[in-house]
Amino acid sequence: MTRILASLLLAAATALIPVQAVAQTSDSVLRRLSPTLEGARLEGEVAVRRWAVYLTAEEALRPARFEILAESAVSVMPEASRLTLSVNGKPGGETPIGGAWTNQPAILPMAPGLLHAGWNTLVLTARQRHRVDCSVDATYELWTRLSPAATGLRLVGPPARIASFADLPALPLDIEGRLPIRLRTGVMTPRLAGPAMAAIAALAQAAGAAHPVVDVDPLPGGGEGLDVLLVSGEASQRLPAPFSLDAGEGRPVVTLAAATPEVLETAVAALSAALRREARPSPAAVPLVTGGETKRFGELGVDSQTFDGRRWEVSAAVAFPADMLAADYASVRLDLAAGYAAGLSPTAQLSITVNGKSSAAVQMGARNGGLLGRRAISLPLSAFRPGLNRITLSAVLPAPADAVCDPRAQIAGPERFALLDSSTLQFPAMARIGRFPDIGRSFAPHTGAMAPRTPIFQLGRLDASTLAAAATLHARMAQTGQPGAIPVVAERAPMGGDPVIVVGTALDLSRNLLASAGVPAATVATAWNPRARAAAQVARAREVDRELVTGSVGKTTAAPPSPSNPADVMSRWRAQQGLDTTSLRSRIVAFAGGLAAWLSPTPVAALPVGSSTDLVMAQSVAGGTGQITTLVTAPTPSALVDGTALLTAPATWNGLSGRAVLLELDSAKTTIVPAAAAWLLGDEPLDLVNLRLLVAAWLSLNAPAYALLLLLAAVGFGFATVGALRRPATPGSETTPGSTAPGAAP
Amino acid sequence: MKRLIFWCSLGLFALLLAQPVGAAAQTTTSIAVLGAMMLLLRLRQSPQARHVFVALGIVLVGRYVFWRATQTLPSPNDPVDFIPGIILFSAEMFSVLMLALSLFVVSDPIDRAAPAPLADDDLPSVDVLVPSYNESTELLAATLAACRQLDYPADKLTVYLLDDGGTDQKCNAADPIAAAAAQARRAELQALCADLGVRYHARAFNTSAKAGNLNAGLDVSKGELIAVFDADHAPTRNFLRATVGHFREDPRLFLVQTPHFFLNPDPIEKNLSLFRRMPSENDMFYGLIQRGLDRWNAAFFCGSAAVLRRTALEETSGFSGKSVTEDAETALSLHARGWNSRYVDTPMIAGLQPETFASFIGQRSRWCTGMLQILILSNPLSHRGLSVPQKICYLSSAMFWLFPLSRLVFLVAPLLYVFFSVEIYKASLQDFAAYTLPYLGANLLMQNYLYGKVRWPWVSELYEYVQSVFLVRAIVGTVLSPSKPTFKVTQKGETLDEERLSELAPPYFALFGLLVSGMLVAFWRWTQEVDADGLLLVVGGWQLFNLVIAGLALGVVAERTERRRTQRLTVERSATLVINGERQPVVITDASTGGVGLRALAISGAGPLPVGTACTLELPHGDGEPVVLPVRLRRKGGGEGGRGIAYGFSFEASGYAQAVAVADLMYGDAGALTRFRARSAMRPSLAMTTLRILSWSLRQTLRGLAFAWRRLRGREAVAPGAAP
Repeated sequence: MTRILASLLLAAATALIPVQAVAQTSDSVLRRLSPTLEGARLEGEVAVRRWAVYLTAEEALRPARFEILAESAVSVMPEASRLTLSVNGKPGGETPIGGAWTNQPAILPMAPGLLHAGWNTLVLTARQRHRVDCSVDATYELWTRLSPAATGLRLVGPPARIASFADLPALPLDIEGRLPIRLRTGVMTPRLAGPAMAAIAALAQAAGAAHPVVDVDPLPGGGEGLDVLLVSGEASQRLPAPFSLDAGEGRPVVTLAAATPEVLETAVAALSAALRREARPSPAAVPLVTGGETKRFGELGVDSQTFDGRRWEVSAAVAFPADMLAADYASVRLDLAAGYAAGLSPTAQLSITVNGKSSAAVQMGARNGGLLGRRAISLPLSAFRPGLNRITLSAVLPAPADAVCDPRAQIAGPERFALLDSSTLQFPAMARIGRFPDIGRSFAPHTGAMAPRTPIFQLGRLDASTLAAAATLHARMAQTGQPGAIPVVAERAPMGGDPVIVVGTALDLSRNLLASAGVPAATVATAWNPRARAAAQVARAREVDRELVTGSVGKTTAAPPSPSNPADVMSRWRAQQGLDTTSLRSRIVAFAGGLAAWLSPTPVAALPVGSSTDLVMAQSVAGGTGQITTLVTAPTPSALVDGTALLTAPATWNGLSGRAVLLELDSAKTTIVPAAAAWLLGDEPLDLVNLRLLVAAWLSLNAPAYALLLLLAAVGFGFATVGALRRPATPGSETTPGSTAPGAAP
Repeated sequence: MKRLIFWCSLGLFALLLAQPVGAAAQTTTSIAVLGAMMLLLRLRQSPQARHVFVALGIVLVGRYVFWRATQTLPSPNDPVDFIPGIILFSAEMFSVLMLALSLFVVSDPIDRAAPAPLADDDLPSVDVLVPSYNESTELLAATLAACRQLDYPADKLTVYLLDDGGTDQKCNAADPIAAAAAQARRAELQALCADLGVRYHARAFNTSAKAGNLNAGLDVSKGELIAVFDADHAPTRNFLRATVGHFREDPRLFLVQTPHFFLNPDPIEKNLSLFRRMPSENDMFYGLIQRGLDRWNAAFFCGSAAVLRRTALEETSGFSGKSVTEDAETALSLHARGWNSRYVDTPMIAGLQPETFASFIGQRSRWCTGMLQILILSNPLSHRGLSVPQKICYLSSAMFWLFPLSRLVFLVAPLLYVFFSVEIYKASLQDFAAYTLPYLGANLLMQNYLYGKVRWPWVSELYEYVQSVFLVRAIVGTVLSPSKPTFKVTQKGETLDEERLSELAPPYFALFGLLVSGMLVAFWRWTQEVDADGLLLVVGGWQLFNLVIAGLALGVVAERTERRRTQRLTVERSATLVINGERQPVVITDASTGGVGLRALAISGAGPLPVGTACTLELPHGDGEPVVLPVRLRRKGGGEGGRGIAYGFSFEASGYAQAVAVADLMYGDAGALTRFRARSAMRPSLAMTTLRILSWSLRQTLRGLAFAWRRLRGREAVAPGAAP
């Protein structure tokens, strides 16, 4: 055995030595990878990350290599653990993980022809095994953290020249995987801001940027990214075209004629049309399902695979439309094509979670192994939500042999589980109506009648930071909204009707506006005064140091406890258990709450805003008009800009839900405040099919109402039957109508 | 307007039922509905309460059907699961359909009041027809004597014995022994008839079985009304007075049917020792279903204990003989011609149940065959002239006999899962708890609520199971060639001399063994397999239920002898007992075909009466001469409460005088049968009955196995018996 280990170590070492020499070369560009929903931390015995990387035709011809800088937990056994890269479905090399930490990236040279011009799919699979402990529990100690700044595709030569809009996706990303976009302008009016934001959103979308971040400055930007230059006044007359793309030294610049708002609007419309013509949409987009589809796992990015460890996990993501109503009136059907080997412990189990809620479980561990395909698994639709949904399959596969923990078995053990990409998810027809407030729903993909709405932005102040925050938000929203729509930017939003997004620091926004979203003036005065924040920052810096060690940074939590009110604590627990939508009481409360709010609009409950809160996003529904207002506010302009950037990061953005979200920048902590009252709002046409589904959904959400209606219907039917059976007295038969139950009591 | 309201409320109801709400809402609904049903169960039954109760039951049944049809069917891509799955689903839907039909039938049962009494001059003339095939002279004597004693003007009543055992064809049979037997029978019966004042008629040929015999009777008689009694159905004195009045009230009336009522247990009751401890099987039909059919003018002729109108029968050239159940067929064709029927729920005949399990099965095979023949040869749905309710009623009566198919599917389905892992019912444990259990609960509650007084819970399942095993054969045979089956007479009045295993027993033991091995495999799988989780539990429970019923059936086929050969009816008649020439007034308290019980208020002078003393009993008989009967003292009991000492006497008479006396004693009192039937006024508790059934099942399983063991050891001779 030692001999095997030694030879393996030798093989790994020889593989690494020549590669590290190449890593020293300069004059190359690192194409970093977009942040993924799952984040940069690869956990457990198997973890998969998938990226789409765009290469221009010229880039595709250059020598390339894949660089990985990663650090692993000490428990990870290098001989049995590795990262395996697949490029466009072909093997792209592998590297061991779990050895001594090095600040040198591991390098996988790309064979010629492996990469091609256009979008390339890179899949990195981590296989991790524990050095000494083969228990299921020990697999939770296994992690490898990729460094986003130093991981990616390194291409020899200078950054690609972005000659056309089609090549926009070839723009390198910054060290956090973001695409910085600078709006360069000297003058700014609300009428100009709208088209400018639309141009930025369209460009970000054409670039396939998962996380575009906007700043506003008249000066040219440096480093990775793209500049959008508004040329106003006389200078605009000299422009050869309403819009142009200049790829010179430094950042590429998109120049737009902006002599008047009308000119800019024309230029943006032309730009959007050109982008739509030329853009190459990223294949990485999460598939949208509107109901009735069947998706193979292969289509959802889950490949056929086998597994020889004891804890397996895979996730698939689908996006639901913004106006889908989640309730138990239907279920998503999972047809597994999977199997497990003989000899597993009887505790082996496959569980399926949807958005973190445990939704189904299948026992495995029959002595002779088995196939899981026979029984369709129903995932309750109530576990899903508008926008992105993650369906996670995780199998716990202990075997008696784990007690011995033979390292040879850790390196290459017998296979325990297999999944085929022919497994399918079948989605039911969905009831289509919005249930508000729900931040997640507002930013979910809009389809059908809900889509062509022009977003309305109300800015607290038309300054660089507020506009940057709004533009960042809008660029992110545009990825799931209507492409090319020019938002309305106003300092005072029109009342009634379309949803409004209010962006501004707390000081720039009116007290009423803040209060209606749950941020009363008192909170702003106490929690967000500079001294309190400074004190909080000091305290937090210490805490973050601690958390970095324990690895709990960036966790999402529910609203913090408010010790004074046990009912809140209960409802939070309920929410944590994923029961808030199914529990009888909370449903009554939700319905009654909505009704009460409609009858007599009362101030919305204050949000748990603290001194360490850096950004608040809160949604409210106006009592009389049903107008949805989404407020984004922060204590300072910089917190607003940075907070918006964090908010729009894929991992944060796709977890948004409830009536409000509170962010802390340093710890990247997200607090979600669930909605207490619910409004059903929507403008999807109420055709018979939808109406039927809506009725079913409402009845599912209001079980007592359904039971009561059925009881009433039964009583009604019973009496109608008595009435219908009443017969005229037939001569001679002299019957007593109805009182003739078998042996009617005397 | 009422109908519009009804249909609207039904539509709304159905619409609400067909909402795809999830298991959580379903659970809430199930709890609420079951709660409401339990509450109604405690209230007094009124039409409103009853129909609301049924509607509540429909909620859970409807929810189950909706869920079952939309969520649980296996995928057609997997034929191994799909085909058995669809078969099971069809069997379940058949049960639901039968439930719906029977709910319609019993939605409003009628209690018919007696017709206005008629003066003797207004009474129509009546011919009483007693068809016979091979019944004993003693049996016929009792029946004919009772017919002769019917309370009716003598000039308007003629009794005919229609003897098919003594036809010319039989008397001239090629087999000289059979021919001699037929000639002897004819002579003996002719003598009996002469003695009793009954007209004997035997036709030339035995064509068309009972229907042909009755038609021959129609030809030789001429009364306005026809009363039909089977050879073992002795009528009470008031039978005609209680029925013929209806014909005057409704000139389009062709039938007044009365219940068939039995003084002895059927083989199942007998073998399980349940007679008179629970309602008899046919209480449900005659105590409820016929009353329900009557509401829809669809009460049908049951072959005996009925009065028919000659003019109606003439329209169809007498009784129909296409099927082996000529009675229902005749009623169907007359209903289709616009004639009406009525049902009078007063037992006025006392008959005999078949004695052995084999003859019981033979009888049921005939009913099943006949009703299916009707279904196939003259389908009620497409029969012109019937009203929609009548169609539904006949459909319900005929389709009922398909129960063996669904019953056997329910028996086999769990075994498929246990032995072969065929997953024919796709449901999670949670769904099972939310849908299936409330559905089963609602079914039980509805049964208990509607039929509780005439049928105990789980008893239907037992009767259906024991019949299914053999009736399947009858169904297949009938479906393959619907016009082939012919009439077979059910053996009555046989006696079983020793306890033995029925000759039909082997399949029941085989099925029981299969179910036991299924249970063992299920248990083994439970301990061995982790992926066979809740489903195995559900299937195991289902199998256990089947096993309980199959165990009871082992007791059914382990036949007991009838300890009490004759049933005693409680009567109250004064008579005179002559002991050694001394006359004593006595009160007769009960009577049977074998003897009487009586109380003497004072037996003076004679001193203590030793057992075995021969005496004479004088019964006053109308205005005429008293009937004098020789009797012998068999037992005596202590006088209690000053009501005199109880004596038991057996009849010692020879000839037919005894038959006349018995008929007079037993059937002279119209209330005797009603008192005998006297249904318990209480519904039994569901839980108690279930426990009782479980304990019976355990006991009967052991008894059946003990019988089988004895037989295997060769200690028990196989008794000869008639196969069905």
